[in-house]
Amino acid sequence: MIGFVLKRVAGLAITLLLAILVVFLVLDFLPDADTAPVWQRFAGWLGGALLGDFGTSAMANAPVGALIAERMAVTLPLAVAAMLLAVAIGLPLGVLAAWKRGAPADRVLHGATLIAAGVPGFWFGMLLVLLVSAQLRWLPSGGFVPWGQNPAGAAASLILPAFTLALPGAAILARAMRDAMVDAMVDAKAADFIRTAQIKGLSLRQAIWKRGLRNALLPVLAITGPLFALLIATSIVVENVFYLPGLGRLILAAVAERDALVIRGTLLALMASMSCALLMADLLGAWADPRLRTRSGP
Amino acid sequence: MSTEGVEANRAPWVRRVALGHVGLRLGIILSLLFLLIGFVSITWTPYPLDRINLSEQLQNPSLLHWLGTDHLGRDLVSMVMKGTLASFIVAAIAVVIGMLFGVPPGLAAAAWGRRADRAASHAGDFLSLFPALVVAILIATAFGPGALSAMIAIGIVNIGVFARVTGSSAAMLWKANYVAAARLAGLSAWEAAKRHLLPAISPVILVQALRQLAFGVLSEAALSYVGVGIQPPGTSLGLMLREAQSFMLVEPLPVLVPGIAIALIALALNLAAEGLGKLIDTPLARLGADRVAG
Repeated sequence: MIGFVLKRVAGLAITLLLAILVVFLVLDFLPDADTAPVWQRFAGWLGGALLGDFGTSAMANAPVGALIAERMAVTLPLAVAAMLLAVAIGLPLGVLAAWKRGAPADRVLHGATLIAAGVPGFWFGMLLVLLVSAQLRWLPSGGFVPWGQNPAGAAASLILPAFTLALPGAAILARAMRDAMVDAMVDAKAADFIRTAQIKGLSLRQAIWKRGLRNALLPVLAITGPLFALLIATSIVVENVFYLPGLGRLILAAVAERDALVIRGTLLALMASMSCALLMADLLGAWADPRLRTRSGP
Repeated sequence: MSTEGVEANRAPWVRRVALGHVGLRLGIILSLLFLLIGFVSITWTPYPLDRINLSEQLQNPSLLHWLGTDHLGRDLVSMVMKGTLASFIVAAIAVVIGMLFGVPPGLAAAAWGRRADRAASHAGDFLSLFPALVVAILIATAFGPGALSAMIAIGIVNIGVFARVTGSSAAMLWKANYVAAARLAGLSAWEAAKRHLLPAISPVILVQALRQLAFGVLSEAALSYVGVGIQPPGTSLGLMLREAQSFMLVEPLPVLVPGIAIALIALALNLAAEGLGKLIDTPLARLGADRVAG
């Protein structure tokens, strides 16, 4: 297991480094590039970034590192909350659909996931603002109170964005969970172990919960990493709906101002977070399924 | 790509689609309808879009303006028609980019086996760090935002998807007898993949193309909405949402109309993809086997 972890960490670190290099090279077309060779500038910038020095933003006239740290306090809680919501909504619905396979509940859920897959996430957020904020006046329609000032208020302003960000993820997970669960139940081997579990005194319901669920979770776990990474990136769009001061608003402002240092630093922070998401899901998968540890990756 | 075998199969295919389940028919009809609406906008829209008419801004639906007007007094029906065309064009070109650069490496991966598997796994990690939004931000910063940056950004994501789908379905067929026979007959791995695998997996690629078309329409909306896709004075469904957001609480219709259009287009394309996918689901391997027998 330790060998697998080290290999996976090293693999992802190299991938991240390559990705950051690509980002650096593309943004190097900007006029503010100085005259040192590319690799020297890259090494200098990356070395500084690893020590927390991302340079000074021309746009905000402030250190880029401080800007990013401040914005991460919005984006990361948002992405984590959305991922947890997507899991909490998607997996039970998927299990329910598999349980009621072919019944009306399954078909309704199937239709719902098809519709959810077609609705642009950020537009769903706008609908939530119109309904929950403007009509019902339950939650703020946008903006953010810093955590230090009012933690409850900060959390409240993340509720609608988190649901918005979670919707497509929940649909994807529900679909994957349903299919994996149906496979696990149809699979002859699965039937065997479920029968064995029943003989041992578990009810059918318990048997499916204990064994089928565990087997079905493996293929689902394999997609959670890329999904989590995608949610982190998509928060850029969702922050825009709710006027949240996260990494997304920062990077879009920097694109408008063509502030390369801010874009580079922000993308480094985003991609590092996404790599961590991939790594966590991989480790979780390897912990759940020892067979994965012998391969180079999922 | 079309061989005699495909020609011979065509008639039953059309019949199977016609007799297929409701979702498939609904998906195809609705997709074609939106495509038609988009193409009509090239020559005709109810009102011209290049004229700002502030005396008619934010009107409710009426006989003159079926869906009302936006904050600049432009007719929403006309905007949606033009926007639909823009969304389809961006999504379609992104699909072409994805197929051109994704299918060949996918085929090669199937022919090379395990080594390619490992390479694909690393490439997968790399690509998941570059979702369309990140690529679009990079291109928009370096070269300026526009329809082109959206097409390339979405196209790059599509490349990964097509490579993966081609690779996994081609790998399933790679061990089929007729491919082995072709290899024994002296065809190189690449030739065998191109001549025997590609025709067999083309239905799978077609289904994926429909899915990626839906993905492209959704992604274009998101990119233009945050300002790294199509720019004014151009029109797209995503750009309409960007412009309508600031006065959404006063007048929700300009937000509702383009959003519903996007959702319907994506739903239609996904329904069509799902329905067609079911038609070809009778395993791929059998499809290949039939062809050898014939």
